[in-house]
Amino acid sequence: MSKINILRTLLWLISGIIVIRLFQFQIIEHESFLQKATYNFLKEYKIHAPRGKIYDRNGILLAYWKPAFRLMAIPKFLKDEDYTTLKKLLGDFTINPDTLKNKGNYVEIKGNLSYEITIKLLEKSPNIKSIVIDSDPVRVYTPYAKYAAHLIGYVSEASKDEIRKFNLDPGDFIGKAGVERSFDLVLRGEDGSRFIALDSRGNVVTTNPRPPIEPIEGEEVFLTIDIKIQALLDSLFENYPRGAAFGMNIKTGEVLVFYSKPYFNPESLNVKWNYYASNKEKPLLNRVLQGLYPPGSTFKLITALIGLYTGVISEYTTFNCTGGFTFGKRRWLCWKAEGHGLLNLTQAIAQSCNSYFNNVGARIGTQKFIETLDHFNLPEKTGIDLIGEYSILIPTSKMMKNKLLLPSSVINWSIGQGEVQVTPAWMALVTGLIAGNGRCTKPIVKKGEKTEYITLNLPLEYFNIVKEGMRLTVESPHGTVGYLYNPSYKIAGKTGTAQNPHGKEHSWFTCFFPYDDPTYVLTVVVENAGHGSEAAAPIAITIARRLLGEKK
Amino acid sequence: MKRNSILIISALFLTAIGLLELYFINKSYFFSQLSKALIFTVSLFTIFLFIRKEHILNYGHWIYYFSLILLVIVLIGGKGRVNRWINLGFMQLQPSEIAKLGLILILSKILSNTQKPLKSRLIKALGYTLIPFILVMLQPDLGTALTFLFIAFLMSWISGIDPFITRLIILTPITMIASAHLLSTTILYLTLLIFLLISKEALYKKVLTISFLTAVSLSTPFVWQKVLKPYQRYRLTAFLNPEKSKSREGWQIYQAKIALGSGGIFGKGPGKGTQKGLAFLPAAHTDFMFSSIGEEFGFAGLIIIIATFMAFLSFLLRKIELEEGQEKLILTGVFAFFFFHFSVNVLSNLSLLPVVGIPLPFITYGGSHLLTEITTIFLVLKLED
Repeated sequence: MSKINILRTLLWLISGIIVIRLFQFQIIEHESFLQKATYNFLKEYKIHAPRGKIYDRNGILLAYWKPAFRLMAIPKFLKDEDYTTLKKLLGDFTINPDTLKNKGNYVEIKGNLSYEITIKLLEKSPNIKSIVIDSDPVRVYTPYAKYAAHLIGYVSEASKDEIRKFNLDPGDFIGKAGVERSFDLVLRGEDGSRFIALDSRGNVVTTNPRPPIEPIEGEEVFLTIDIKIQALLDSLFENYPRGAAFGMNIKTGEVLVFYSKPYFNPESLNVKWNYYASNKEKPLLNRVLQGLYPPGSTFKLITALIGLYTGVISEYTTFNCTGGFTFGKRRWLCWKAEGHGLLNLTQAIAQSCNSYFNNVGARIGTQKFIETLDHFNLPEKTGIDLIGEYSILIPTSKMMKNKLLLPSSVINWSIGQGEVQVTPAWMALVTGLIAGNGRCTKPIVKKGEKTEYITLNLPLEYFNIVKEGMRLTVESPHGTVGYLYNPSYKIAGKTGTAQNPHGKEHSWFTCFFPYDDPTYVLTVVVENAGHGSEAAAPIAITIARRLLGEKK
Repeated sequence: MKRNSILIISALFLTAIGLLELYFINKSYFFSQLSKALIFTVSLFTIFLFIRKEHILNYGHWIYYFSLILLVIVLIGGKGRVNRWINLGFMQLQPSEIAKLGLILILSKILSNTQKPLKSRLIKALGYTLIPFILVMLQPDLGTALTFLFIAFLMSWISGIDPFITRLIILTPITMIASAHLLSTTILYLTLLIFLLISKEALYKKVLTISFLTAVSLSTPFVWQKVLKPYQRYRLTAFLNPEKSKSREGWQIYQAKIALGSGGIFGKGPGKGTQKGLAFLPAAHTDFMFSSIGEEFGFAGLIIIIATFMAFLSFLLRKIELEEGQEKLILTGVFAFFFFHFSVNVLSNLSLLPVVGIPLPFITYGGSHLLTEITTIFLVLKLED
């Protein structure tokens, strides 16, 4: 082969290698390179989606969003005169250009701008190319929201754990409690993106290389509660510093009343966080779902069912109350020192006789009491569609494990004392089970949520006996709240006066209505307010009448 | 003369493509390059009107001495880490580009002097090559220095070097690269041993081959570790894994790859390349013009460019075949010059070679290489007279 032909071959060889390599890059691997080219130069910045609005069941606005304007800038491009201009407009603008540059390519200079300053900046912004007036949506609550503060919850900047768990970015907000937390994904919406073109060294080339991807506002959420009733409740609670109320429709599961006092103002929560968090009255505690109270006499409804189920009593079983009950060496006093005299079961419920139920308890016995509650298989939580509900404590074998059990334990349990602690919502659910003859819908706070039934399989007559006792509580002149009787409202309920280590008894009232077609249940607890008939019952009955009035 | 049109048309076409791409990269580069191309062409055309073939053959080597003076000036006057340019006011002159032309002309004169024995001609040629080679290595500019070696080797080879020496010269870079890994070194030596066992060469040549290459193998890692600075090592290996490289060079090579690959078959369209447009490829107008064109004109556009270069280079080869003596050697040098620049530049754009600052003939932004290239074309045409 001549030398020239060798060179010719070499030329063809190298050209061949080049073409093969080009084929590899430009045809085989084209797609992947194209993708790299696109994502290479565009830096994405999040535009937060506005959170969905929250309404009450009647469409009254509780939470919405408004744009908070903020001044963003590309520090690299800010000239000295721009700093002077900004200083004039913003007033106390003392940011050092160097510190700003170190913060990144696209940084916030000032957040939460007032409307006037925003307008001024917008007028000036064509002159300063590297500033962007960005609007970041912020959560706003209407003045109504505080009446259902614990239900609505609040939003706050996501913690490190939440950022990791929910794949968020630092600075993103997230619902921390209540509906804001439980329905965070619904309310959240979809964040959008703003793009900035960078060169290979990370310098900003243009601030608007492609149109931003607009964020999608979160879905609206209609709550099942009636905020007007919440406001009414709040006025009824005026003289009581602490308490809770929970009411629902047992047929649909819709929660109509969800009130916890003291409450916080969601609007100013983040600002006054320390005040709320350190307050001794625990305004952040959601008493409806997290307040564990001894149920006191309201628990007698369950004792009655256990007694009937175990056969130790019937509707006609009578005991003579002499103002107390002796078991072993101890005597348990009835709240009525002079005694109730001879009572049957329904009368005992209506007059809330302790001695009667102490007797029932003694007949059942500690072990049988536990076994029967095991058989009833009552839920530990209502299963409401909110995160953060606490489990209750009742004497089931599971919950009494490792607890010292005495033959006398049942005497306390029978009247809702001892190792018994329940939430207002749970008590309402049990009331619902009784009112619904063993069938109650699981509570929901968001309209349109799917729900299911909770059941308690007992003979219908047992429920009817207990319900009759509850009717008499309100309608019999001897009933604990007979004094509030008004024949136009068919309400049946049970008072409770729960002894507790924190002072005066907690005042309970749990009721359902109308008793000929049980639709609603309502439970009210007023902390340290004394007898159930004095504080809780009047509040509950006022609300019940309001609900019944609306039904008509 | 008619056949020479291939040379002129390819050169014009490649220059035009280069200018077009420059126009999309940066208008001021475009106008600067356009004015240089016009000034060079017109002034060289005028100059060559007064030059005859004999002038080139007899006095051409003065360009070599002239360029050596410039190379020394660059080294003395230089202040920075890299001293390659002389500021002429309207342009930055890179003397090493002129030295390439000078080297071709002086070597052609030395090697074609048949009155002297071949061996002494070759030794003299080697000496004349080493002077600019060393001066350029001091700048430092490895790419240009290697161009000198390649030009000198090809011209010597055409003049007729002993196949034994040729073999040593070709095996030297291969051995250096192979010494990067024990496995490749082993394979190389095994192949070599088998070859030497079969061949009927004189024993001393076989021993010499083995011992020379062993010396190369052993000294390469030493030079690599002790002589080269870390950034130089980095630069030479960045092309192997540009995605992972955090250096400017590695990043650039990676961006060039993305530019090329994202171009696809027909490219993103003239001026629509995003890579260079957003300054992702700061050297789009210099080292990576090929990738930049590839992004906008795609596979199809690059095939046309490669075909043009092949036509251009094949034409030169054909001319070498037909010529004799000093003319043949000048044409060989010119072929070596264009072939080396084309191959090294394109292969480094394709991540197959390190980026050593070799321009793509006619296309890359820059006056000096364009000046040399246009002069070369006029020179080749003048050899026809």
